[in-house]
Amino acid sequence: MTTPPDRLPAGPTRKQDPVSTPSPLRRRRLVPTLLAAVLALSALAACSDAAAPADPAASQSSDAPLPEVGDTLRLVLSRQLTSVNPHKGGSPDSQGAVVGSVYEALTSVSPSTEVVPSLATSWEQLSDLEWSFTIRTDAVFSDGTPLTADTIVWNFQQLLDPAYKGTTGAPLRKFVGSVTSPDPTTVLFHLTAPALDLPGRLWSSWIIDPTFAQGHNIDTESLGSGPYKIDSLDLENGAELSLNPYYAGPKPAFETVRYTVLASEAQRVAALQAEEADIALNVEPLSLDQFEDSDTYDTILGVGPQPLVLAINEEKAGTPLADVRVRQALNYATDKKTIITGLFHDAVEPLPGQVTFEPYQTEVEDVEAYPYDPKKAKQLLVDAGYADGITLEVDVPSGTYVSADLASQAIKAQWAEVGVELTITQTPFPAWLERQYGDSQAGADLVYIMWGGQYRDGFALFDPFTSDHIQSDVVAPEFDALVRQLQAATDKDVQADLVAQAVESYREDAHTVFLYPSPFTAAISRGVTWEPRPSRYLYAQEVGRA
Amino acid sequence: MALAHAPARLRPPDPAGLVVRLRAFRLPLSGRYVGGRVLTGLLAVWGAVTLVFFALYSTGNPALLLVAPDAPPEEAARLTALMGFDQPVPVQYLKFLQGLLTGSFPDSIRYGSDPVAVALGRLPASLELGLAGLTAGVLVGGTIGYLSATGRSAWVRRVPLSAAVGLDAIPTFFFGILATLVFAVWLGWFPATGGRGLAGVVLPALTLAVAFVPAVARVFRTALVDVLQADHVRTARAKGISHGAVVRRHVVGNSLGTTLNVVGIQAGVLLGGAVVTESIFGWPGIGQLSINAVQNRDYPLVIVCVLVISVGFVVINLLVDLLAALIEPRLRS
Repeated sequence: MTTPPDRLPAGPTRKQDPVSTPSPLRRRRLVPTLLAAVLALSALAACSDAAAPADPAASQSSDAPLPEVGDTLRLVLSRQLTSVNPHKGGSPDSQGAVVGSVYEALTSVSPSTEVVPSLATSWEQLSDLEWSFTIRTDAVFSDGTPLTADTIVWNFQQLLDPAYKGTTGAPLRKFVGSVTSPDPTTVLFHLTAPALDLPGRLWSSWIIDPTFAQGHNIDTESLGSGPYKIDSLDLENGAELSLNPYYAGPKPAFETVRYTVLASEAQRVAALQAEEADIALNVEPLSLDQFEDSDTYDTILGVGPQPLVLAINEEKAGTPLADVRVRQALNYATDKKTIITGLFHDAVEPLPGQVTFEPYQTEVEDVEAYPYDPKKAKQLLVDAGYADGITLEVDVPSGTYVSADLASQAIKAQWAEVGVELTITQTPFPAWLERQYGDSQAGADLVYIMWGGQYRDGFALFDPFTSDHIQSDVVAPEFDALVRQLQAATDKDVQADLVAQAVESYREDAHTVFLYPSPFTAAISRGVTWEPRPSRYLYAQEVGRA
Repeated sequence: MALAHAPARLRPPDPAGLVVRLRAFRLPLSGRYVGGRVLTGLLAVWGAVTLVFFALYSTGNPALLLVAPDAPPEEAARLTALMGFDQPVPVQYLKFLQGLLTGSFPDSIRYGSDPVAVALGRLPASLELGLAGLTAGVLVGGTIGYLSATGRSAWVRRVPLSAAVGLDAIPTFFFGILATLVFAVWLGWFPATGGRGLAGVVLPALTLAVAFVPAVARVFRTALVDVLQADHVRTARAKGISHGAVVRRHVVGNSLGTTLNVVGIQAGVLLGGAVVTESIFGWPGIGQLSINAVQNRDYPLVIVCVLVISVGFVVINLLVDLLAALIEPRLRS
């Protein structure tokens, strides 16, 4: 299924402001608003009905003069940097943005999730188990060292080494046997299992200079061939970047960049109010309301590429969730639309009964979302022998997903109507993650979670929903088998058919509670241009001057 | 009597009495007293880091945070073994103790380097902020305490002290956000996103000072009121010395002992207690480092941060103890 061209921009759209006369009173009005945001988020939620809903497709012209943008681009991240190690991956709203501004990989993912060339100018599948990538010859590290095919081979040798401390190689080791370089412009991938989406899977395998990597602490020091180099780094508070003088691509609009980590919502909102940021992502939708009349910022409330679900623990001994009727009942008992309207101003649509959704993935036709039908939910529970109701626990990672706490409260209220008592546990992210990795018997019944899909039609997207995934507690043998087949498929039509079967199977067996795509929020200075990247990777080189 | 007189005749001339004074000189504090305090301090440091060690290691495995979401299930075990977290906790504790004695700790998980260097690198920023906050807190608190004890008008005596006590009820994080709103967002005087330098230190120092003002004001006021009622003050007044002169010469100095004790303790708290302030303002100190290390389960760094903070706390308290014992000999027992 192809994506209608007009749907691509429908997710994140800049919502510009009407003309307004700057007034000293405006700032004063912001004070109580922010106070309310910090102290009483729930109170704000209650007030949200009164707020004008943001239409993600709305775009108003403004004649107000553009705000001044300095020599330094100021970007706000919402999580501390874990490191700047190119082989340790990175969260998009954290070091992932910095690393992607400093390093290059063989391929890249465009804001609309298409896989595009980067260090590799082209690629070709030579056979089911062999791929060839043609390498650019003008790539140079920021100290003047040329980046060659041998450099790339060395990086993949490290990533494929089980004893290596880098972590991004682990998924590759499942299907990549070795990487070689027959000539200076070619890199060959020898696979142990077919992977039709191999180019997409390589987008985050960043390439570092081997000599530098072996002589420096690459957790805090960097040498990449990307548009920028790191001048100063503070993992807790951000990084300062300047142009890589040897960068072969188009020169970015800003000579210097400052990434500032502002981990709390209050800090991000204060930075925007003080006009100390050019772009800030992950601002709560309810906080964005106060910038509707801003002369400085446009706001975005749109669709992100990752689905949000309540992952189900089917492995727990004696759990009612082992019964498909109970799982279906939970899906019928969830009024996604009301939550979306109340919390996300209708910026997203409920997931279509599958974790793939347009415009980021190809939706499987004829598979539809579970409608909100509390009567049917009650009946299913009665049929399953739970006429007196059941009690379940949902684990929500605190401060991780937009409005997750409020959404889970809403679900609790909705499920109470059909006799499901939901206990909400809010857990700090590390403990939340560890609980999922741990014994499923000690895990929560449900987990509020967002699964990542960075590039279009990447079928690794299905992995987290299979039974044997590291964070999964479902029992879905039929789906598992289909996913294994589709990921090993060598023919795209066959693969598409398997995808349809897998999606249908997962929906019918209700192995998850389908919610909605992750909302994507941002405030962007009108003095800069930026094609929204809803995957939340905020790369400095993609920002221009208005 | 003859024996008593004999040495006196042999004694060389000592017009200034220097030798007598030297023979009479004794160290103000005994080695036993100082040694006891040092030993207690070391035990406190060991206790703190041991407690933190077991608290951390009983709550989970930091290697799991490094596992890529799309990694195969065996990746968690691989990383756990690679980082040594698969060993029994007692074994890891023994290794930790060995590291504590030799000063060689495992690398920080995030920084990939010696956690001691990482933690010590943050100490100057914490000291800078702490010193600024303490100075502001002592000056404001001292002034309020002085006014509330010596003010002639009831308004002067009561209003500033009531305001200071009111400050005590405001949580640090709330005051920090409020200060950012008013002084950075609304008035635009200082940066909202933090930063070093004079402009950057004002709001965090102010926030930190708020925590000291009430304690210093109350203690200083109480001490002043006590001394104002002392006999020697009444005598001085009876001699006709002015109120101001009495307070300056005979009251303030005698009231500083207790206040110094409180200031010393607060200074110790500063090292680890500025966690919230440093986090709110993005101040690159050891408080912010340690809270982020906890959140990221960077165990080696957490333990070293606790070690540095507890050593600092103990050293400051030791100095305060010794100073207090010097001033007040009865405390030496």
